[in-house]
Amino acid sequence: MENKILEVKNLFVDYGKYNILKNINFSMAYGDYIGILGPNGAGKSTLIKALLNLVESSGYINFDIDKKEVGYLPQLQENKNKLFPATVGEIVATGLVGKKKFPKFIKNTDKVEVLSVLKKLGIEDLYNKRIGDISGGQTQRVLLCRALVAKPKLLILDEPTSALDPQVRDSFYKLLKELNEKENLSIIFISHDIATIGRYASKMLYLDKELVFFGTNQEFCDSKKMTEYFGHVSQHQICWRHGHEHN
Amino acid sequence: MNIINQVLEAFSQVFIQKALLSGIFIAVSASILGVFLVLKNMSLIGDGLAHVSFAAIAIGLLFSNEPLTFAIPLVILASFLVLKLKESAKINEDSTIGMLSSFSMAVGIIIASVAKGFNVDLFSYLFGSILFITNSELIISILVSISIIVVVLIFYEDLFAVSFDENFAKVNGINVKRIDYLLSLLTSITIILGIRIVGTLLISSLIVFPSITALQLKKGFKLTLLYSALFSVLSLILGIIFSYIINIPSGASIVVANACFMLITMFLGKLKA
Repeated sequence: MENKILEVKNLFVDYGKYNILKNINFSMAYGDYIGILGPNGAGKSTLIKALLNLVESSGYINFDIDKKEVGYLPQLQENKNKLFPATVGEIVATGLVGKKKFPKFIKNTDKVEVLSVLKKLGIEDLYNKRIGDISGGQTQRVLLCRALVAKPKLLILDEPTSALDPQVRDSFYKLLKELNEKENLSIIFISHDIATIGRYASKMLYLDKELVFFGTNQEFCDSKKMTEYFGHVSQHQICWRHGHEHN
Repeated sequence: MNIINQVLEAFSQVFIQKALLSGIFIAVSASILGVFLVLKNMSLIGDGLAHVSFAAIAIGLLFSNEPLTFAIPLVILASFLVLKLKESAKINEDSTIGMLSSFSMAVGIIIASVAKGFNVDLFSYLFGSILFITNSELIISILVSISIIVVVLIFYEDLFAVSFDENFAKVNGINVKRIDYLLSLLTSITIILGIRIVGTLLISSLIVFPSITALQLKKGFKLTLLYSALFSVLSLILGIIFSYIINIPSGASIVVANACFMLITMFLGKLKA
């Protein structure tokens, strides 16, 4: 049996008397890149919040790694970032705080780590810039650095590209794919951008309050159930069967 | 030259020196906590807890001569109550603080009217009386302020991470709840200390104004904390000296000085942009 980094069984999330998520079951192998898809209100964000223990849930969630080896990139809060008085260096360093023991101080060796992750993502010149003075695409890279600086084994991203323009979005996707392939970083990526995520993720998880589909991209494209769900034309687009002709 | 003489005269007065000394320490701790509170959208809590402290001081005056000491545990409890209600998500924080404020004011007023004897005392807590600070109060406010600043420095990274992004901090393994309670605890103590300077009605200005002023400068986080403390101390010194020279209440004069700095930095910020 392959080694699982994450296993989820019978996961339920309720809000009052409403079911947000019903009986979710899936598991993830080391190195998997799972794209979570689904319509608005399908519970995508709730699912990862449940995984990260940010909302209450019932059921079985097991990480094979330490919780502190999970990196998280939340949805962009543009308004808050614009006004917040902090430099890129200060913000990325917060990614290291969780692993520290009391009293927690950022040392010079931490700064070296912050700089090296910024360099890896090609934004080391932003170190002293204020978070409010950089673009949305740069902010997203900074927050990715914050998630990566503690060297996570699993990275969870909540619609990180929704505020980005298409070019920046593409380079963001490519960057993640590189991390996934070169460093065997496992990734869970929420997206409403089905066509793009389909090109990069290795597995697709389609959610609509319950788990509608979970499998590899090939299985997704071959699935009759998904064809019925999306209609023939859309599924073709998602699976890029003739996508290259358009590019 | 007249004005310089008056300023020098003010500095030479022992009661002014004591006021400045205790005031500077309290101003620094209030303004530093203020940055965290403002960024966490919790600046109203200062105002709310100040109202609670009015009732607490009224109750304290019934039983002792040291009403501030008596008020500290009550105000801390009230601040924890606000957090508890926020956690349960049944009532939002604004409403909780609004209700708690007016309820405490009402309790304070009833006690004051029933126990007619200490109306004058209570009045001095409403508007502050830093010029009449006693030696023991001076020492207490310096020691407590220093402790608050030290605690903030020790927990600086946690406080910063939680202020910037609570969810990320939580995922990252920071005990966000504990940091929230710590911040509330420190704020409660600072407010009680600050009541001596500007009074319950004006104390939230020591928390909010310097932080907003510092935010206008658009610096990194550490510099913002530093500037917040700096503006707070400057406002305090200017406020006290002016209140001496033109004979106006010192608490109000400190608040006006704070407001002036805020307006100036805001205006300069607009010019730059």
